[in-house]
Amino acid sequence: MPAAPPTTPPDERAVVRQAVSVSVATGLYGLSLGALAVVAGLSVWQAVVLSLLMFSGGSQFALVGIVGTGGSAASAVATAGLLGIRNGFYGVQLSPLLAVRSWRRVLAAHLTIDESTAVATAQPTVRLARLGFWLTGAGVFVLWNAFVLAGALAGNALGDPKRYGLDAAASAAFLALLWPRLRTALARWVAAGAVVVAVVLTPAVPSGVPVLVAAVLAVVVGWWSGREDAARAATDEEPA
Amino acid sequence: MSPTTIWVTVLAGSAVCLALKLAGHVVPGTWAAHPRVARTAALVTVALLVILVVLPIVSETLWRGRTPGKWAMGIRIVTMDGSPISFRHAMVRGVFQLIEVYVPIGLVPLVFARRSRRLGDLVAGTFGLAERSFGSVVTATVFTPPWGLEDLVAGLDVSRMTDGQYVFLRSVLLRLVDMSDAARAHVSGQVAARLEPLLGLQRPPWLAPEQFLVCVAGALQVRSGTLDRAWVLEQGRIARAAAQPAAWGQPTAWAQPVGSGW
Repeated sequence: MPAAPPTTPPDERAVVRQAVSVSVATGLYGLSLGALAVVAGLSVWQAVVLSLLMFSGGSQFALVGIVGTGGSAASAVATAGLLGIRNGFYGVQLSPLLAVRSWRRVLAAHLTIDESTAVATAQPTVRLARLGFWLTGAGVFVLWNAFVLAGALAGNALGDPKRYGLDAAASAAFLALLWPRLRTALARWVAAGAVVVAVVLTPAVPSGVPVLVAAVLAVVVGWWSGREDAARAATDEEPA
Repeated sequence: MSPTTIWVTVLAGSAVCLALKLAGHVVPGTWAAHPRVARTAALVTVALLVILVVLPIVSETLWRGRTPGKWAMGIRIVTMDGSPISFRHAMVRGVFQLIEVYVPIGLVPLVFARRSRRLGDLVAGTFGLAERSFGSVVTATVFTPPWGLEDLVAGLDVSRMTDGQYVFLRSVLLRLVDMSDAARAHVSGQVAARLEPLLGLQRPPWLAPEQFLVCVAGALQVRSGTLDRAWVLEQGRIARAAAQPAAWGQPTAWAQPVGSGW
């Protein structure tokens, strides 16, 4: 990552600072994913390839979790995919901002995650938004994958990653993503509905199924709910 | 899953996720900006994240301290005396997890506290137990009050004893059975002598040191909720009622040892 030369304007330096701190904070979560993946039964190579190719923390945690609990391959892929839908919506916001073509567009799509979108859309100008997107995307990509590898190796070597409370790290990651999205009443109702689904279905159905049922619930509510929330829901889709 | 199935899952999942990202970058902006589509997408994300946060709390309760993830790693959450957790414990752990996300200092005890407990564990009185290292089945040890000593157990004030002292007492009791008679008497005598000042009372001479230790452990489990206090008192009533006829010519002292100060 190019260090900011002394002549850089102050607002550019602020973007660099944001990108670096977000990259480090997010990258560190890779440690828990790597360890979790190995314990769930993935090889070190599978953990690394998953991170390089999927590159979306929530989806990766979900896939690894379902593999680890003996869920089916189909429900693992479906859950990872459902969690990845939001990246598609980030892409819609980002593509006019980035205005790139051909292979750069593919690269931009691959780096489209919560963190890069958040930093990009928080900037006041298009130039700073682009800088924020590419720096954060690249920074998280490098650190996340490096820490996933480290976590997978450490998980293998120590054989006891639970000692470090890694189970909490996965939930913490989901919670950090969830919190800013609960601003509308509709979102809170869907959240409450999802809690009910979890409580009622978990004892009765294979792992992975409650996730899918909750997603269907959200689709139904979202598609047929009233218009009043529409405007706010649309703006809330941006990450905080 | 076999390694091949895992590879298929990893590659298929990655392909789906990358396709979704690409779709976002090539889809006409007008379609995805439609309020109904945008709203649905936002709600799906909320529902999925809620499920992923809530599932651990729900299944920790239902599976008595295990979640799918913990099962995979061979751990379960247990109370400090090794019994399964209740919804209250799972809830406290879950709520503190909320705090720990924003104030990572809650995770600091992981490093320093014994048994790698995080803040939620310290408050809930729980820890993560590596059950595989004890074999496949872990059962809670319940120190049932000895016959006739139920009232004594229910009346003991053990509020000044720490979790660490309980863990020590528990491990002593679990090992006594493997000791020679002499060692058994010696060790239980020593530990009982150290507990007396801690509890601020004298062990009555008729009560064997080992029985005394079982009573203290039972009292601690009554305090932690592992042993039901009402059940203990009921057992005491049964013991007293059974002693009433005193048909064997023996005084019923065994059934009524509870003197003042207990």
